[in-house]
Amino acid sequence: MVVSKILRKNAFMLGALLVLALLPIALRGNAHVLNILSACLIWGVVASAWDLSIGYASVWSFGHIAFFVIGGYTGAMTVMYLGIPPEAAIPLGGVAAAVIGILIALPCLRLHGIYIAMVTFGVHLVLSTFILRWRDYTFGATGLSGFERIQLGQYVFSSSVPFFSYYVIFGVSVLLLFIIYRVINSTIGLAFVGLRDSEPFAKSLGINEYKYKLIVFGISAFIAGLMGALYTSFYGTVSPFMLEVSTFLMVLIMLMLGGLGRFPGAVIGAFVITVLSEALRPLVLWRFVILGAIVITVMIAMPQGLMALPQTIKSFARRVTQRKQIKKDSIKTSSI
Amino acid sequence: MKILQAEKVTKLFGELAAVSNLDFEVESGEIFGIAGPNGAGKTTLFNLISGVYPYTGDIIFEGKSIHGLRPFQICHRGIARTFQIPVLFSSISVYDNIRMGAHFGAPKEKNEKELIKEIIDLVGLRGQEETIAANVDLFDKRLTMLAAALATKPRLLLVDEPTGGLSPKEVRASVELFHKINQELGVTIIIIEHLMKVMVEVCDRLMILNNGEKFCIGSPQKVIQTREVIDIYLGG
Repeated sequence: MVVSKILRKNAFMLGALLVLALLPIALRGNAHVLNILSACLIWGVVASAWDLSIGYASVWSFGHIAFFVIGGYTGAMTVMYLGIPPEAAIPLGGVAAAVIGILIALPCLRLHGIYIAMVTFGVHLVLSTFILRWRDYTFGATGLSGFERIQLGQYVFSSSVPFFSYYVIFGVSVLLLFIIYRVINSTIGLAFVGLRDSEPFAKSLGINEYKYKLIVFGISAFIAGLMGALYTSFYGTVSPFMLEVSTFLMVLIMLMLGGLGRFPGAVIGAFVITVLSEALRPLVLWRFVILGAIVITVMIAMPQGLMALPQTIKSFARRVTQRKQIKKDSIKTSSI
Repeated sequence: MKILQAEKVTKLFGELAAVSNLDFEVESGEIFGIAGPNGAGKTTLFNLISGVYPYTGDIIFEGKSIHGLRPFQICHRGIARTFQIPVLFSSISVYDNIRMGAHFGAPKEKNEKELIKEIIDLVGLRGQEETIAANVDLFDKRLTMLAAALATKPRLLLVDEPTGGLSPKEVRASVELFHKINQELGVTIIIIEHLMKVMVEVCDRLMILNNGEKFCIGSPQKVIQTREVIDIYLGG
């Protein structure tokens, strides 16, 4: 009974997981598509972790991509300079980002909304200067490359070995998305929603807002950092160009398009934007214009994002039926 | 036995004294009313007791100072409150709103579900549990807010204008509910209310505030007949 209820409630997510698990088998020969799917998963997890902060806890952290890059550099540098195995370096990227995330959260505890956004975006801006200045270790604008990758027998975790790499990314993504799902549905998630919907009431009911702000910064930075390290290992390079505003905006758009606070909306947003961006690549700069137009159209039609699509269709159908009924009634009245 | 004592409590907003040198005491088990014209400092006083604003002076709850504590710590000490405008967690169900209080505010409950069930029955929200809080009517919104506050198992409940916007029938039901909470749960209540009829029916004692100062205190029947109180209310 309980199992069937859970299955019914999560039918969409389970179906999507099954498709994603089987799709590479059908696409085995197509390295390009497999790498695009891998990118979709990476950005889907990064955007979902950001959603935990912005969408669920209403903590407008704009340092999320900085955490992603911190994870990437930590992963690469611990392998290069400390000789740590790449399998261990990836979670270390998450830990480093979480520690920095919590340190950044401390001055944000008494702040709200746009002020948190300003402080955290400051960190994003400072990070690229820091990377460029610390060139003896970071190689400045060139970035780091050529570090050891995860290897399992003959398989190397790299974009040039797409089939094996896809399943590594798929496994890590499913695990992290499950953690995000569990957090959202736990009492921690309940506290986030409480602080988002009505902070004064939440505090009056015994919720310690500082504690939950630290938790959300810690969890979302950990996941972003871990995915940053995984991304760096997958592509074999990390550079300050990842801190460009275009990356920041792209992930933010994925999140908004999917639907704020509507898990797994951010994953859907990531798939839509990544696939569209690849499909429109031949149009060079025009692709940004077309992408922008699509995003604006969706946001106007569905301000709550793609996750609200079923509700939007239902309410549209209801309106159409009502209009038809009114027409019918008026015809009847006029004929009388 | 005194449950709450305010000693020379003052709150300044710039030059303006919203609450000025205020002293009063609330007895354990009573329903204590606070009334006064708009801007008298009633809601500010609730915000001071519940730790929203810093202040000078002292507030003592059950013999211990609560000065400087944050709102969640004050809740854990045993003081809960409701707000003048219903400020619910609008995106989640009525049940989850109440669960918020039971989980985070109540001392570690062995049976959280049982506690929530009892409170839902007490306030009369049975049948509304699964409704999203944004979709319930004003009366049920007020009841949900009250239920969430009660789920923290408070010994002192601060209720800010609970009848605003309600129909006479709903006001009647609210009055009965406050008596029930006070008598069945043994919760001391401090209530801010504009409707004098409600104050007379519900309160054991009534304090009138004016310009942030205590104007008078006593039994509601006596207080509302005081010439000066009538003048304050009519702007005389």
